[in-house]
Amino acid sequence: MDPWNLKGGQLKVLAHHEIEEIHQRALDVLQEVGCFFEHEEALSILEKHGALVDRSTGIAKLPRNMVEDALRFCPSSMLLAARDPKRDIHAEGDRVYFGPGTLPIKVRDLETGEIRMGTLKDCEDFARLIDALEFVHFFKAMIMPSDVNQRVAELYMVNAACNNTTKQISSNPFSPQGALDLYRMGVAVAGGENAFKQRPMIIINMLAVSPLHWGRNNLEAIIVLARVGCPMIIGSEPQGGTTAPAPLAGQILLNVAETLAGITLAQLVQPTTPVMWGNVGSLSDMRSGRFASGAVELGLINAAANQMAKFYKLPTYSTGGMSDSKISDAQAGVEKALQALTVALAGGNYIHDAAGLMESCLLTSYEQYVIDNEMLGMVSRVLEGIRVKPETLSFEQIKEVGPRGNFMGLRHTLDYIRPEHYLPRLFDRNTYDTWETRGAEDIREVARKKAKEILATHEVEPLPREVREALRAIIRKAEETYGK
Amino acid sequence: MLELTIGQLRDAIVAIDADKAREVAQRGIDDGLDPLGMINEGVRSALDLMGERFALGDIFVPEIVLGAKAADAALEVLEPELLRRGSSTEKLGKVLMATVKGDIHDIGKNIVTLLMKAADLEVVDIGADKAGEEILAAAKEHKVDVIGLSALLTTTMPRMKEMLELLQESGVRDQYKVIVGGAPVTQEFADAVGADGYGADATSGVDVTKKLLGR
Repeated sequence: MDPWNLKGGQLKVLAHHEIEEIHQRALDVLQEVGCFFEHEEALSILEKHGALVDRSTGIAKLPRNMVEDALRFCPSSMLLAARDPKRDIHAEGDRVYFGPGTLPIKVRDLETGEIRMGTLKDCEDFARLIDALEFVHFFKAMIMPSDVNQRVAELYMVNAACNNTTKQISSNPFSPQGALDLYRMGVAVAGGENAFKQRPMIIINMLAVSPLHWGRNNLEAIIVLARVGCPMIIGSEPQGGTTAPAPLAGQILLNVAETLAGITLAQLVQPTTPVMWGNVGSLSDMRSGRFASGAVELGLINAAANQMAKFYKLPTYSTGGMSDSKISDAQAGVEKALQALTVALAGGNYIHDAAGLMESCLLTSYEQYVIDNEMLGMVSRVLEGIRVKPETLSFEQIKEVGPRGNFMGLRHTLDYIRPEHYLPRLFDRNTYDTWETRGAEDIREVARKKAKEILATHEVEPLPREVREALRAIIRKAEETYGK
Repeated sequence: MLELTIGQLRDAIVAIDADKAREVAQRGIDDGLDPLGMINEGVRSALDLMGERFALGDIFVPEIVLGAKAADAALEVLEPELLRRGSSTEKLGKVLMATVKGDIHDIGKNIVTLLMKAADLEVVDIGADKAGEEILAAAKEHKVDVIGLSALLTTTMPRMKEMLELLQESGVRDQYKVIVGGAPVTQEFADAVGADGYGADATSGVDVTKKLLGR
């Protein structure tokens, strides 16, 4: 199995006519209800291209053809470059990649097991950890460093990532100036603006606030990044029952409308800006109003979102693999696996939040990444499916072995066990007695030890000195100018 | 007669029927019944019951929102009558609610505000993305007892620390109790920034506020 060549798309939760219906209704929402754009220049740009703008409310109503025209400019595939080209992400079609997500603030200490706030050292260690984990394809905002200047914390985080992994990197900006500085960091790693155009080394994401509210900072970031041609993720995170309708179809409709609104603006600012369709939707648990990150519906919603994105022929950013559990327990296992499998089967190109997260995105742990890596490996095996060919149907071998024989000593068996059987990297399949003799360890403990081993031994090629310095210089300048 | 009407009013609110609640309240007024009794024992006890059921997980957020609407429908009729008779209800205290600057999320704040009102606290909600100076100005204008700060983004939590510093620098820190909340906020953070209280969820937010008011 090649983790860098996974393909989904086997699961379709929406029928074609349902996709069409959602598309038409989304255009209706934008034309009749409109969207609040909290940004004067954005409103002017939209108005100039035919939107009906009410400046007293900041609401712009977008005519159908305006949105449909904008979509025509969107590239349908996106190269997200990594420091190591073998680890590039080709976001297109039904290709599937998994990664961590945004943005836990607490971590379970690897030594003491105590829950504490994340640090810059955690950013470095987590980046290095996923660099070694087979089924985690990119770095995204893995832990909030509480011990750095909070106004530019995302720059510190991305700097830690650039230095500690050769896998692809993405981040949310904490301010519009931060968005531009994240782009500059990507340029520094790529080796210049032209090099970045060929091989974009970062993707930056902006989400609307449901329902139908594009905030000032995110709009400023979209405009600024569109002008420099930086790849962007544009989407929303509606929560069913609070910021979105309770029925899942209504929630998906809202995400489509909000995302189309943001994408339309980006294309008007700079046609052919590379954008990735984003959805992080789930339910609110109506007993409290809290975000239900582990809800099984999140998988369904994101599967549907992937279908919508593919209908629009856009690369997709979606969510799947979270849990509301506070520990690496049975709840975590079930919630994460059901979500990740559902969204992977739907062909999510860039599935984030797929590893490491607990407690509704607030908590992470090193051992959870190791466990989730196994889970994603198993999901990847499902994506591989079943190869039906004369050699795999094995008629000749069945004939050769015949009734009452066995297949253990066949060359054919030896040749096929590795490609066909997923071998667990972590999970234990021994008998009770064997397991007990070997120490009767809970898989959490095995994962923790594995995480420690990786951190003790895994090395990542350092960035060239001038790149390291360029990145540090960006942070210094940011702190001097807007980071106070 | 009063007992019967109070019972009907309470039932209407618990059944989240705003029209019925308004109708019963109006009938009560027309029959010359004491509005204070209807508010305290009809509306108040309905909201207390709903608050308890919510804390137990027997009813959900939409029922709280709709219950509050039904209560408001009755109060629209009862409060003017109360004023006409020259009296008023006594609230447990006054709270200013705001989401801090840079943060446009307000669902959590809105849920807590609802539960606070249901718990007989008077609440002034100035909305989201509010700077420290705006919050302080509103606190002074409305003469509140408690300032409640909400944030959903980890990046906006530092505004809470700045708010407490602003209160200190303005020499008014001891005039207000400050309670903080929001998904990323923790007791540890609340203690570190010098808040008086922390609400881990909506229900405990209300309980902590009441304790801070000595109730």
